[in-house]
Amino acid sequence: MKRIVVADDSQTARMFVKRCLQIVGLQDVEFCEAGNGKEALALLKEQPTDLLVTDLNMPTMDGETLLKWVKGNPRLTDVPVMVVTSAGNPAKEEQLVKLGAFCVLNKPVNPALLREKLQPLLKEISDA
Amino acid sequence: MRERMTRAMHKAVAETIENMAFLEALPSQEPPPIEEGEMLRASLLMHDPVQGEFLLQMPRNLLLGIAEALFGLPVEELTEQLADDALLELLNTVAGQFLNEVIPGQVYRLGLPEIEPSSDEPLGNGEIVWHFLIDDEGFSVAVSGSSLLEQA
Repeated sequence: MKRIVVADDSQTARMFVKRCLQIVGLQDVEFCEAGNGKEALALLKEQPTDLLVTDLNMPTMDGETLLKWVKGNPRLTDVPVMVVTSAGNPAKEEQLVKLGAFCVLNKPVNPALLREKLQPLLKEISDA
Repeated sequence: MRERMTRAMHKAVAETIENMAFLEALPSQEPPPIEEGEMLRASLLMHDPVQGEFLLQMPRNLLLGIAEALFGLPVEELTEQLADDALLELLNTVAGQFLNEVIPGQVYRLGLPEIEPSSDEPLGNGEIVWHFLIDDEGFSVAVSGSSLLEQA
């Protein structure tokens, strides 16, 4: 079964992202939730992961630091990282893509936009 | 300036509520009636590049209705923690949408949203306040901070 880690300090945001991912077809997937970057990193190290969805603004370890850790770790560097943030704009997006983010979405996400951005990965992730 | 901010806030609130809870939030001229002990309030600080604060005040019943739509759970199964979390995430999302309209293209840094002590006072002490209605229930959003308001 494919595995997706969703990192956000808001339970509402984690649930909402998960629901949107299920709507775009990722139903037969194991979702693992983390309340900050440190927890997410621990989950990523536990088992191979097919997608990391992370917020930026989180306590303990923020999403940008998490992205740098993931892309700097040879074991994790291939995990696609999607950033979902309320603090996104073209300047921030460019910065995050340079750091290795696969894509950046502004909150609130919606299934249509998610489908469009995830298109290159959808088949791979949904094929269990 | 005020008109631009008003357009930005109307758009931010409408899109957030519609996308997250599939409900329609309409601007209102009137502040919502205050029901004693029933108003919940959340705040969010903006740290950089300018300083300001966002506030969201909402009656408990309206928040529970939104949280019900958000989580797909009946009201009786919603914990206070889930309802607070929904209030914080709504404010966080509205603030981000608003800032992307009023200071487009700028990288900014927000704090973490926090629940404030319940207050029966209406918002409007040194802030710009906007009121909204979902069905017949009202809520308010406010922005304060001279450097943020000057940027806009």
